Amino acid sequence: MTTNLVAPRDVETAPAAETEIEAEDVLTADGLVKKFGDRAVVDGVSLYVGKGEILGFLGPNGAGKSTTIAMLTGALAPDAGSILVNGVEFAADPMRAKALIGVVPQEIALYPSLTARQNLAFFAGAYKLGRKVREERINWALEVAGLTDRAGDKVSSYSGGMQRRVNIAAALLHQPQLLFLDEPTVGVDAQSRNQIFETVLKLRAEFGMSVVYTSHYMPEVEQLCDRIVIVDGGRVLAEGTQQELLEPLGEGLLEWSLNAVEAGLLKKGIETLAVAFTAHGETTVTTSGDNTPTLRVRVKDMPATLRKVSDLACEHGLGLGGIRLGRPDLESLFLDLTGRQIRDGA
Amino acid sequence: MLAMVRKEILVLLRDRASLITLFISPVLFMTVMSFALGNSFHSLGSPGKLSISIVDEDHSAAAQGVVKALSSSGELQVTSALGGVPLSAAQAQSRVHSQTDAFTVVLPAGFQQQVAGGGAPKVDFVVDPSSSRQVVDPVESAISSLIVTVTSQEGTTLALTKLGDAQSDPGVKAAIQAQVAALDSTTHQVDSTVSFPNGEGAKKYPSVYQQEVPGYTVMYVFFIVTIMAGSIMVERREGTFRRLLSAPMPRWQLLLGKVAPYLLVAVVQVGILLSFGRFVFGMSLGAHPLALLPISLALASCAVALGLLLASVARSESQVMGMGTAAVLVLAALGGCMVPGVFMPQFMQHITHFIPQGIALNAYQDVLVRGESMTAILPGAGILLAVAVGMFALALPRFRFVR
Ligand SMILES: Nc1ncnc2c1ncn2[C@@H]1O[C@H](COP(=O)(O)OP(=O)(O)O)[C@@H](O)[C@H]1O
Ligand SMILES: [Mg+2]
Repeated sequence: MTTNLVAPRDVETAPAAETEIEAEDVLTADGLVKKFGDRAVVDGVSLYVGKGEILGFLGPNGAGKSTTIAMLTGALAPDAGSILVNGVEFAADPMRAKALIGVVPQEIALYPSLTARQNLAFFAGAYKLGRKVREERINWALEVAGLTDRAGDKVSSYSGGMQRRVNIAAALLHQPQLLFLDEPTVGVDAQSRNQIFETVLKLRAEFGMSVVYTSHYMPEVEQLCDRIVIVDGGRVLAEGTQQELLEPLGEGLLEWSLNAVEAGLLKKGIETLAVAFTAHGETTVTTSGDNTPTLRVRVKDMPATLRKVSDLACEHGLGLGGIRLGRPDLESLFLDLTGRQIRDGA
Repeated sequence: MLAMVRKEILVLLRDRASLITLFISPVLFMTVMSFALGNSFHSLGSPGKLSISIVDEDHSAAAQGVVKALSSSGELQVTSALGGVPLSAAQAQSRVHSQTDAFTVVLPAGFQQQVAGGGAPKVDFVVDPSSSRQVVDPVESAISSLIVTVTSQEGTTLALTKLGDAQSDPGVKAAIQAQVAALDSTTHQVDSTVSFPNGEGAKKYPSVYQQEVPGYTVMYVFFIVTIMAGSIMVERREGTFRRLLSAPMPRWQLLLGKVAPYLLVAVVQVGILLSFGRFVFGMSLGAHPLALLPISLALASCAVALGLLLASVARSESQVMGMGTAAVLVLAALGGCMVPGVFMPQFMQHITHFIPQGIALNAYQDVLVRGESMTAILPGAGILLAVAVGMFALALPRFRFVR
């Protein structure tokens, strides 16, 4: 095991014991850059993945997630930065690094005119597995995907959810230590989504598999991931456990949307309310919208703020129908970081 | 590697559209064209003879020689007289007009004199405008060469000699003898450009499949270009390349695994199409059929290299289809796959020698028609291979596995 952990040229500089501690991270990426033309689509992304950890890689469409994954899995060469897989420098020994990782591309990366079994057999062939092991793994992967019964059917005849599951199964055949899942639940029904979640958790439990889980869908990342990296415009905006990330957001979020009548009752529009909340001591107050102007308040002290709301409503004769309270979540964090809704896209 | 070849072939075998393009379409094309030109499947009925008429306005021995030679060629339905009365130009015209004849040959007054004078005899063709050039042109040029042959050799020599004897003027006699010699050399020229073998001429006259089978074979081999480039684009779009790149397999293996199956398919395709010509049309494979192999390999390499080049420069799948199809058709036309080079203007014939399709077709015909051996076609095959290597060299630095 230890021999696997040390990149050859690190041997002299780093004592074995120390390397082993460092190598607890299955993946370390530092300062990754990828440019297409003049445009840096990935602009200095650094991240790490601990052993057995499920890392959420979260960002809107076009944030550079897939491009980052492409670099981390050897499909694209980074313009700058370094990647260590289990202590092996990717660029120095790509074959060894690649043997440790598996990737589930965002696309259904399968041959639709072939059967699931034919697809798996083909992709298994890319790894040096003995004939017997290969057969076992194919059967196992089919079982994991819950498709043993339909293994002889063409992939094109499958539902979207089934195709997604084969897409994942094809990345498991060599039982990688680190699995990249690039938006694995796009276009999938709730049942298949749950099945995929269970699969990911089971793989971690059984093999200690580490996972990088890419998504632009917040709730699933919240549900599944131990730690989260949020990216936008090719840069890391925030990184940490969910708790760490949400702590600065305070107790909750208050959203107050006004209808036309209510908006008319305010002398200077919604700004009046914003000023009142700021004076009340809330730090982040944003307003938006013309038709139904909306006020968003990050709440530090919920009871005090609610009292303030009812005071303001009485004072201006406003209704409380447009008020929503929410616990802080990643969606609100992203909004906070970028001023945009994550689903808005790029 | 082997798994990649297997996968590619499996996928291709399930891609009906590509199979039709590569195998069914050329076979249909060859068959239809052969039927249309009425020169194969003799057993299925009498060969469709082309009806022509010939008008002798010169009323000379030389003109009669031509009429006789044309009438006895066996491949043409020749009318020179109606009810024992020689056809008049007006009658012949109306026969063409009513499409009774595809065209008429008029030997104008002074024909024999021109022949005797050593000049090019003037011959008029009146052609039904609706009749296909592809039918009329070869017959027309065949008749032209026949006329020259007839007026120069055997019967004509006799006729001229007889004519000279009758004159008994030593000056005329000498002139006629000089003419006989002059015409002999003209014959060679005509024979070589129209490639109308001397003795066998009449029998081989309908060499439709000898043009067509290799022609369409060469043309259709290149359809692998769009199919291969298209498949590369799909693997790029669908992320299968992305997945394969994450496997511990060097890129060159991946590329080879993608290219090799198409090379194989192209060679098999050539084999099937030539076999079709051989066994269905009874096309002769020439004296050295093994010589077809290096041409086919070099040709297949060329097609596959062009496919890789296209996949390397095209930005979208529609570009692949558009550019690929255009290139395949235009190159086939320039290469003489559709219209035999003989019927092209001079500058086009020159171009043909620089087009891979033209080089391949010429090499095939060297073997199939001219009965040449391995050594004769090796230069052509070598050029094709060099072109293939050149295109690979252009493609490789530009090739991307991911978008
Ligand atoms: N080959 C490419 N050439 C040019 N731009 C690209 C290329 N690949 C991706 N992009 C652009 O880079 C940005 C990030 O893409 P991507 O990594 O796929 O984002 P995500 O996966 O986060 O949605 C997008 O704006 C995309 O259009
Ligand atoms: Mg993506």
